[in-house]
Amino acid sequence: MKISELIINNIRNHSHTELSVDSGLNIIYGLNGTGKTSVLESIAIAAFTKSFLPVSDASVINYEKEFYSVVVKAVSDLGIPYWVKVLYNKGLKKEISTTAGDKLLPKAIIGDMPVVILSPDYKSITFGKPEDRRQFVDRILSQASKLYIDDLIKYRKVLKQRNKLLKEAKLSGRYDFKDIDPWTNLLIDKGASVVERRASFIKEFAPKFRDEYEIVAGGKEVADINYVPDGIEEENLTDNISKDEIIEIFRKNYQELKDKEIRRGSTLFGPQKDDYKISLDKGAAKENASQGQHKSLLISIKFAEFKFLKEKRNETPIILLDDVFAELDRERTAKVFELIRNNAAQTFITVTEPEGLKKVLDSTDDYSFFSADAGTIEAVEL
Amino acid sequence: MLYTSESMEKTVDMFASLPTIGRKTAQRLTFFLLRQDESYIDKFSESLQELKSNVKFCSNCYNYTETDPCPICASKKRNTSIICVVEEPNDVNAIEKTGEYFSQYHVLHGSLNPLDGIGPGDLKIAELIQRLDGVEEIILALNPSVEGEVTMQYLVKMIRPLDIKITRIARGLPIGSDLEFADEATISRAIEGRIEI
Repeated sequence: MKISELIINNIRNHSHTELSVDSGLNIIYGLNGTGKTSVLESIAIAAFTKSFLPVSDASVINYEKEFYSVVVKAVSDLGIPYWVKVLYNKGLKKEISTTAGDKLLPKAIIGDMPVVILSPDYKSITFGKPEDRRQFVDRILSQASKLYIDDLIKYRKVLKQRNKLLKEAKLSGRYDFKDIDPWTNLLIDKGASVVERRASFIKEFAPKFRDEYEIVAGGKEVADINYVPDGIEEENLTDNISKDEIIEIFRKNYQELKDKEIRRGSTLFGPQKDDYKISLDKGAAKENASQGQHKSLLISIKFAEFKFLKEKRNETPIILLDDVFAELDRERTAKVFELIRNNAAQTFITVTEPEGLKKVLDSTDDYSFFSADAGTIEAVEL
Repeated sequence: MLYTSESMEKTVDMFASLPTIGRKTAQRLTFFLLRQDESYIDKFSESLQELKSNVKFCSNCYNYTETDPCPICASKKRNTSIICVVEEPNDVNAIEKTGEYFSQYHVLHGSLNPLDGIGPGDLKIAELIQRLDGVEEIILALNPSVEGEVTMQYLVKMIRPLDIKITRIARGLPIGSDLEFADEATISRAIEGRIEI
């Protein structure tokens, strides 16, 4: 997929920005606060219907404005035109339209324009909380499979509803299984679907991640990623674990935990507590990896994400690199450019200072520079 | 104050309190009303007043009606041994439009939703159980949301011991759209709910 045009209205300090893009590599430079990252955020909004940063929709809107909108025009690998428009009015539902139609739900468009993002915020994938890793996997899987989004959204809804009932039961001291059982059944059913899909995802993803790490780190050590689903013993997590087997395990876990659930007033089992273990030479990377190894792990995991999505969607993902080169040494920077060149992936890069990057580019690269200043973006020759 | 008139402000507020109406639309509606003549406004407010005083629940199926029992429940032509259970009165209209269903309805007025504080006691479930004498089949036509799903499970548990046939409406592909245009989730549910021929 390649973006040809980007129109941004009222996103952060952009009041109206129109960008025609005709290069593969697009480098946006400028000081902090000039609106570089907002361009990447706008692309993320067009792809996921929300920013990749942990912010609310309202906080993305330009100060004192009532709405934001993003329009992206793009062309698929096969040359088919695609456009998407996301409009958000404060306090209202987002209005989403694409080539496929109007009034679409977010889940209908996520994955249409696959995007892989590398940002300093994602360091937490390799050494942060389980939540950060879940979010990482959910974002990939949501782009790869509409069925996954559907199951995940439904699971979250059931979980919320069931927690409300348990909390009320705890407060009132009255616990009626007749009321809670249907929620428990649906929780287990939808939860098992989510776990089954996550397990089969990791089975496919792990070899890709191992390969990428070997390339990035030069084979000095072996990296791996494993799925650690809540309440399922390692020996039960076979390669082809089925939904029915997971349901059975969940039923057992529920029986063991139900008294505790009543005392605590909340759900105590299920995929909302899953984790993924990233390891180096069998040791947990979280505790054992050096700073440099963490960087290699993060790049490899993102490369693997790129390859996985490319394979699943049959479409080259767009790469967004938010201010990452300040953190990468020359060798790792070269690896990133190798991936971009080998796949002819359209890439958007933000940097504060363009000189360093210019050295990495060579004459065969198809690139453009854009300068950002106070919410305006201008194409420049460098 | 946003407007030069307090009455306008009040009307805009009232419209904006309606579902799916935002402030901009509320404003547009208010301006529209201001441009109409007196008789239109009288008719408008009259119909609103009548709405609340004339329309009540049917004591049998709990659909909205002006006569009790409602025309559907009172009809001699309808089969009383089948009841189609729906969430909202709107759903009755949707099914009636098909002209293919000649039995009775029961309107629950919502679905189980703890987050909105709606439990079994807030729905017309007890009322449904009370009218099951002589009923041979219950068709569950609830929405495919998680709340609809759970409500269905709850009803099944209540009705099952009464030895009444329970069915649910099929989920799957909309007629008139091609398979290739349906999303993955819809197609997968349709395959899940396949039937032998």
